[in-house]
Amino acid sequence: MKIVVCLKRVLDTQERVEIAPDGKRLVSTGLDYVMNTHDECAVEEAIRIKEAKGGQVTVLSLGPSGATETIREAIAMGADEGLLLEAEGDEEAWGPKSTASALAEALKGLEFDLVFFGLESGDGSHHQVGLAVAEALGLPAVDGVKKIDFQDGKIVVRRAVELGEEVFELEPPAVLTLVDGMNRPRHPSLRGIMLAKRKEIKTIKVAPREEPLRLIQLRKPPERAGGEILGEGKGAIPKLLEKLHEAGLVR
Amino acid sequence: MILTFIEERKGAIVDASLEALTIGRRLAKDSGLPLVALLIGAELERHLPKLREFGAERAILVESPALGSYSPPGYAKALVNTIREKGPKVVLAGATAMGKELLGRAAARLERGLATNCTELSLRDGSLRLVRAVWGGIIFADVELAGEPQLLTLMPHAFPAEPELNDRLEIERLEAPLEEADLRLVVRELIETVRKGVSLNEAEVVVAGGRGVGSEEGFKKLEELASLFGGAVGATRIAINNGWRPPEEQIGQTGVRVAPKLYFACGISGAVQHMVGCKDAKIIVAINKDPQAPIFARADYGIVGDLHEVVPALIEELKKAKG
Ligand SMILES: Cc1cc2nc3c(=O)[nH]c(=O)nc-3n(C[C@H](O)[C@H](O)[C@H](O)COP(=O)(O)OP(=O)(O)OC[C@H]3O[C@@H](n4cnc5c(N)ncnc54)[C@H](O)[C@@H]3O)c2cc1C
Ligand SMILES: Nc1ncnc2c1ncn2[C@@H]1O[C@H](COP(=O)(O)O)[C@@H](O)[C@H]1O
Repeated sequence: MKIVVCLKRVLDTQERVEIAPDGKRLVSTGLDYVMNTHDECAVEEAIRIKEAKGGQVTVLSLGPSGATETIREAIAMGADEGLLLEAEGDEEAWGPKSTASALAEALKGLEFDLVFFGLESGDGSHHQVGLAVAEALGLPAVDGVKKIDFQDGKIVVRRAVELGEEVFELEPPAVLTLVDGMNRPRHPSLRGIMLAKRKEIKTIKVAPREEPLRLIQLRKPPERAGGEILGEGKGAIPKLLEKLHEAGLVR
Repeated sequence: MILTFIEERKGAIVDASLEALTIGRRLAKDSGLPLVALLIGAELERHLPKLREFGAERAILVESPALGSYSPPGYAKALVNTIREKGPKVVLAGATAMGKELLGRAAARLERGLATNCTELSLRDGSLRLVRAVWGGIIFADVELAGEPQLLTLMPHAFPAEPELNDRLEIERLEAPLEEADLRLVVRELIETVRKGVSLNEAEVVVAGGRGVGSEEGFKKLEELASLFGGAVGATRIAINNGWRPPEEQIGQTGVRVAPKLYFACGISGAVQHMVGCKDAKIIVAINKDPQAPIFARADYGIVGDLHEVVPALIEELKKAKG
């Protein structure tokens, strides 16, 4: 099974996030870059399938040259190859449409049975790049997959919906977008890290196309106003019950 | 027209679609455009009274036995075909699994932009101002879409669903030009989650636990507290990563978002990634042994103390009060 995993490098948003003065991005100083959480599960899932059935895992990422580090993390986990689409132009020019069309173009030049995406990116949270790529390539796709099984050449997937889980059956080549929580991603081994360091990451430069979704500005949502400390330990319970009673939540 | 995609599950229109209809009605009034509801599937007429109740002026039904089971590409084709024929200015859907998927596919097929997970929208000088929740909800983004139709999905619970009866509902039927290939991907089975109590999304009281709960065993007391209110249990990512609770119960940026009347945060530090999942709760009560924990600045009421002492004592008091 040949699997391509599309992954994005995102800022690791800690307790304090600040918006840059231009209102278009977050201040990155002091923050690390990490692999998008859903994508990390997609990498893990691809490696598990390779381990069980043989094959190859290629990771594909679009971003600045620094994203090669994230590609290397995936290789350290067990992926075989990496390809970076080095993004020209401003970061904000790379909305979901631009990103999807560049990824789709690159995928046309790769061999695969399955393409994995994460459900959504931690920064843009668009939840559309995977489906857009599937549509552009004319491939069957299931969105939000939490379990994958192989039965007689067919792929049986379960995806989470509001009421529970939907089961779909499809045949490769296909696109799946995967959700965080479906597995626990492994930590890279020391050997993996050494291997990844020496690995050559192919790079292709790409330019954005016109993006219909335009960012005007980022802002912080209003914070909930801090409340009242009712007391310490058990002693605070009568006061709490009083408050809950006032709110009509207990008799 | 303002076209609203209506999702039905188990014979009923989902809340997210009623929220979308409500906001669509507001847009329709502000713009002078008609509010049109789009239903795709089989046996659709039973939903018409609900559409009227929420003020739709027209309903477009794309009905076929072949659409009786949900097929993402088949439904996407029916949606895209309707958009092509009717040329709506705005297309709305609730950001449910189905809504996100169908609008995502439609945007790709129509080569249009899509703003997902909108939390606010308004019409100013003839153009739509949109607010999206980004960074998993910890940041808001003011955005705009170029071109028409403008495709949007609305974050569930971000908008109220308010009925406003319309006397007359015009009905129009459209054919979906479906081919075999459109229906190759069809849902084989829907496995409904069997829940012991209410679901996290619907619960009026949520008792959430974090690292401070300490073990799977520790959550038993939280379950007991939740059941006293007829509520549900939630957890932080750390509690889930430790295997104490199932992933479906994760609340926050990469989990579910809840808006209960009462939210207990037990042994939870109050990281922004967790708090985006519960910030819409009416009342948040924090129980944490560290008086410096950030949760106290984000909760309405705080108790400083060991949850293993406070929670059982609270359960006892509540039982006494119940008699
Ligand atoms: C991209 C990204 C996405 C994320 N998404 C989510 C998400 O969806 N949901 C989520 O929850 N997190 C998410 N996180 C993780 C989040 O940043 C925090 O790490 C996490 O919420 C902290 O969990 P916690 O409060 O259980 O643990 P901690 O931060 O370790 O806090 C434990 C608290 O328990 C208190 N405590 C300990 N023992 C006791 C006791 N006996 N009695 C009372 N109090 C006690 C401590 O004082 C402490 O305040 C995400 C992080 C990232 C980077
Ligand atoms: N720049 C990128 N490079 C590679 N994959 C990406 C990129 N942006 C998004 N993706 C993939 O698309 C998924 C959904 O992203 P989004 O539509 O932005 O929420 C992510 O989880 C990734 O798998």
